[in-house]
Amino acid sequence: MDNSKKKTVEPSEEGGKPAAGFDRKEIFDVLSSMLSELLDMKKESFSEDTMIFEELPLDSLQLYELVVDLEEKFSIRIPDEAIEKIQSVGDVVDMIANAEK
Amino acid sequence: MDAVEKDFAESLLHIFDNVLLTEEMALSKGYFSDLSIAELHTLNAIGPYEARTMTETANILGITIGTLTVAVDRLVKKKYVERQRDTKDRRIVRISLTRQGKLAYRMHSKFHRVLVKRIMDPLSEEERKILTRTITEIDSFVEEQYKKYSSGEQYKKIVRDDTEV
Repeated sequence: MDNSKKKTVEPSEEGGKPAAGFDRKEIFDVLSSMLSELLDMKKESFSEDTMIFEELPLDSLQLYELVVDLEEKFSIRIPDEAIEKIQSVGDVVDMIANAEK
Repeated sequence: MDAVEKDFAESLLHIFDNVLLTEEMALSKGYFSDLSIAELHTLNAIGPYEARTMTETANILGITIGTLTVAVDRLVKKKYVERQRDTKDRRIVRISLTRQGKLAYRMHSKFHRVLVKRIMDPLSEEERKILTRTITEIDSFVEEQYKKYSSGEQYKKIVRDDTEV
């Protein structure tokens, strides 16, 4: 894979937002909407502390659906190594906030 | 060939066969049962991000544009790949993966990662290093042989040597 064109998203100067232009609250909002649609559960069922694999009925295909949709929505790249580290919904928010564009 | 070499040769052939067989079985029983291994490798060559030209993709796969065109036609029909014309130069056609194509790519790369993890997990750090070095050497050797066969003259030479034996 060609990594040469990737660059790490650094927080921009104004407002402490990541360069992608989304703050944690916005990311969480999009993420919980996606999970809600994917799993047919209420948006309020998710918090940053929700454990993705223990508490949610997410299979491996749905996990990748989520990853592909998040990449598209936020124009980021999520490498497999980052997915392997995910445990909670909050981890996904962190991963997106720090993702490579 | 002594006994150790014989065991090694047998295991090596088993690995080639079984990895392919397992990949095919996993595929046919999984979510993407309408894809062949060759088609999955085409998806891998296109990759999940920037759109690629046909020439780039054909080069990665080591196949002709004609062969790739047939493969891509099928993948477009199955909705794994899409074609776009370059906005600046309309003569250039780029191909990229659809959402479905990206999912198949991700699931397939997971298969390879799980395989590696299973092989590496029981090994010590030192054993991993030795295994990686050995595998890299085997890889270079096989690649060299492939190159010899793909250039016409060498190919003829090897065939002639074989017939003399």
